[in-house]
Amino acid sequence: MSSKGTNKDSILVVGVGNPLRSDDGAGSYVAESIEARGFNKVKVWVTQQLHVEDLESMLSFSKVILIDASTSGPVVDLRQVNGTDHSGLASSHHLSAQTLVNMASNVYHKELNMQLCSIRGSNFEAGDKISPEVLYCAQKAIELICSSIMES
Amino acid sequence: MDNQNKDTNTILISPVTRIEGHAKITIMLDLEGAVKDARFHVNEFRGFEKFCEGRLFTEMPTIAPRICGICPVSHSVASAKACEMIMGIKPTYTGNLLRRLIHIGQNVSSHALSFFHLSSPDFLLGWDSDPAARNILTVADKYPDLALRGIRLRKFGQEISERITGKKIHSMGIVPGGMGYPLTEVNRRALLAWIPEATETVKMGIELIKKYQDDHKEMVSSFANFPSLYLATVGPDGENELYDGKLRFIDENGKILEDQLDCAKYLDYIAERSVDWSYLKYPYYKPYGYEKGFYRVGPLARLNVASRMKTPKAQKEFLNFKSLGNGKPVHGTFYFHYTRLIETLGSIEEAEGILKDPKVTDEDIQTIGRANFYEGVGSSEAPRGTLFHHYVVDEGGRLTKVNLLIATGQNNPAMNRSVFEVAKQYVHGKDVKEGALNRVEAAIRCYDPCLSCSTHAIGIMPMVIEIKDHLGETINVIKRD
Repeated sequence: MSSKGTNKDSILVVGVGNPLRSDDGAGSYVAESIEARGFNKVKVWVTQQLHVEDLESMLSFSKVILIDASTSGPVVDLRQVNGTDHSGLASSHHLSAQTLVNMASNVYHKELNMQLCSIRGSNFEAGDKISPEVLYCAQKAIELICSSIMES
Repeated sequence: MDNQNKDTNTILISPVTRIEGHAKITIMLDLEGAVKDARFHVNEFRGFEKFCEGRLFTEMPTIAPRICGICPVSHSVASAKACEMIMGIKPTYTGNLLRRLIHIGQNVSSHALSFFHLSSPDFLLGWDSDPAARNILTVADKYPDLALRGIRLRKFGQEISERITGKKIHSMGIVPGGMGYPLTEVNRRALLAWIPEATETVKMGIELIKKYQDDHKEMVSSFANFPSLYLATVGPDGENELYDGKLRFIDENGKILEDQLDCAKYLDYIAERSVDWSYLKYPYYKPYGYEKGFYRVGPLARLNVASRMKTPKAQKEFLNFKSLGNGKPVHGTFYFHYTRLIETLGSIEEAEGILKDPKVTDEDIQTIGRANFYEGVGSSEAPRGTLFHHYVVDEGGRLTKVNLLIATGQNNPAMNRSVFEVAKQYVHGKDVKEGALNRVEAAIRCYDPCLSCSTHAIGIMPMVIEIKDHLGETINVIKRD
């Protein structure tokens, strides 16, 4: 990921997760499915973790949609991310979506328009196959994200 | 944070925050409530060495970066060097230049993370400030310019990798014999353009830590200050060297014990012992034995060991650092931060020199070879210290033995000693203030340990500080989820 020019009219779709940890690959699966649909002005990234230095690039887009597998919560959900998590960094291997939104506000003095699509996974053991029920939810996630893109 | 077992003299800190990986700390008290011992436990285990057995040795430079997302390049470099020893080949001039450059990028990125993101909350917000707000978000709120510069310095380090290999983390370009990708002229210029900003940011960091050291002389000089041996890589004239060189051990008075050692002989000088309370082993300098042979690696060790830096700006700061010890090694653990930044300054100067080398964009980047020997050892200076990869292969080139000696593992005895020293200074009895516990944790943060790297963990481990009484009963537990 790197910032290459401005993308003010574009949407960034980011699939987060490790495809070699079974259902954790749902994020990249959905992101690649969105990419295959060939939307204009939609850029797709796939990454294993979110990093603070990704912020600068994310801020150049009008909207960022993160897709990540979750261990709890609704089976599939798309929601706006508000900067309410002030827990900071216990480690630095990864950041939460909320932390990115907070950092954007505190460091760059900009609002990061971010949506988070979470898909509840059931198996995070080593493996490159996504569970059938999670694949079903991934299709729902694709529909939700496509709607969000077309509304923008 | 919650306290438990209030009736009974052991303090347990878990998880230790703002380090890579997770751990717990146990503090043992005597009958009067004074600290009599302290232990730093690492409960993670991954066993990377075992599952590499049976694979072709040439796969290792690709597998090795997956050990760690913070120091993948150091693993790749050490791995490629071990493979080159098995093949009996040397990388090309440009291959070596690019590896050196990408290694610098990783160290800059890692050191920026350690200083600006993980440790600066203690200096800028105060050791006793609200723990819920003592983090990079509050630093970003109160010191936005510094936080932004810290983020961009890390970005610069990662961009070096991205502009050479296409990936900023877990890059795959380092191969036996050199590099798999060349550096284009466009990318060379783009990286060169970063140098002034990166230099300025590191200088800001150096001024910040020097001011803190001046303003808190007593605390800084007494913080986990204890004598130890030191190990680091040096160049032919004893100069500081991160990418390639020979090993040097010094004693607590600065006397050179071993010099210009080939890394392939590391087992003649380093031995390890297991302890029953941690997955992290206890390495030691073999000629001195387990009790007297513990040594430190990493930025403090590298600057204590080195005779000089290679670049002028870093050399100037190096002389200032050396003056702190009046010519002897500086043992204060807090000085890891200062040395980390001096090293970063030197790395940026070195990167500028490499980017101006006319051969850096050459396409002669790899020497081709095949297995000719059964054993290979490679080393590099990872951000946290000296790293060894040791492989033994069969006739088909399949790995029959893999040994990885990681920097954080080598600092394990010293981290334990540091925790003990700081606990003695700040912990008295079972009712301990959070700020005191934060100082105990900070002793570990000085080493910037990567526990998941050194033990190779799966999953997330919580951090606990446990306090035990003179009978070994747990009397207080402070836990962070």
